Amino acid sequence: MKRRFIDACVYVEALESPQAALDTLSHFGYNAVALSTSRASEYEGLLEVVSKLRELYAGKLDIVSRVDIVERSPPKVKKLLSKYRRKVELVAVHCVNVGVARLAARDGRVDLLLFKPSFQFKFDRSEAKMLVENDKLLELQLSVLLNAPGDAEMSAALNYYRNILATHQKLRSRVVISSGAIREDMLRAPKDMASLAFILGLSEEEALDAVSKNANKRVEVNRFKMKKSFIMPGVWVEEHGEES
Amino acid sequence: MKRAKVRYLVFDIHYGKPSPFSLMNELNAIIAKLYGLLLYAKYKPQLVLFDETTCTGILRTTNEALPYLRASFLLLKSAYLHVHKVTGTALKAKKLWKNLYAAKSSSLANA
Repeated sequence: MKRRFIDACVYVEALESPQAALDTLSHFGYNAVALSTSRASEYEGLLEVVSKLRELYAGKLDIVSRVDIVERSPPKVKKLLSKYRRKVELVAVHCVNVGVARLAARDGRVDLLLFKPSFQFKFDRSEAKMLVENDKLLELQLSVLLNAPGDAEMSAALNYYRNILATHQKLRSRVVISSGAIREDMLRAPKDMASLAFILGLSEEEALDAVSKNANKRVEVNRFKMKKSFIMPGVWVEEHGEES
Repeated sequence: MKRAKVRYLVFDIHYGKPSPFSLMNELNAIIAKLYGLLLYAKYKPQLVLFDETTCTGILRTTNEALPYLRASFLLLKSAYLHVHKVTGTALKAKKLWKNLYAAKSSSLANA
């Protein structure tokens, strides 16, 4: 079966023309893209943009809504999670410190945990264990490498990602690689992103899953959960004798 | 020693219009920076064909070097090389490039 590639994070708030970016992604061979915002004030606007673009790109590109939570205090993260969870298809938490990272790994409302070299918290074995136990996705963004101002910063970022993936290899947590693009020129083809994951230590199959299967599966599950017929895991209302 | 399998990459360029010379210089510099001089000598790609008007071309490399080369495309700053197809023979690569060239030149003419 042909792989359905997904770019799990494009920041729509910073793009000059979202349509041009989506055309480029479609040209690169993506089947889906998650449009995100990290500002709470932009959230309503994001849903509007997503619904408009869904109509425009129907049958061509699957548009997924996503929100990034960037907060330093765990109670604030919890508040934002309860606000967004039922409204968007993907929820990502930036693990800026230990408290937020541990909360995100435990909380069932979080889909993706994002790690960057600039964060205080460094990914460790116990965090990886919690990710695996709670079926969470670990996200690495390419924009970190593209925005690195010099060689030293780029090598530090590559080393950081290599260490994360080495820890991952031992515990087999699931990884997602996204562009995290804030400009159109930061968009990249899925197989090139998979190649980066491959040279950083993932197997060929895992690297391709990181830009396709892992995020797609999560979107599917969340879409099902967002339906009105869904009551709780394992319980849903059947309509006309069919699963809805 | 087993001979490495050759791969031809048919590509087009996004977000920039570099000359073939500057493109290869930047690409070689990134490969050397990422993998070191030893692997640079092993994985160094060759530019077989390049058309400056449509910014399309063909690169020659080996099967082993392919993922390393693709990862280095990600980090190019002046332009982005988008690989359309990877093939094992020069003849098929030229055929694919001709199709890409025709599509690109018609879109340029329309614009």
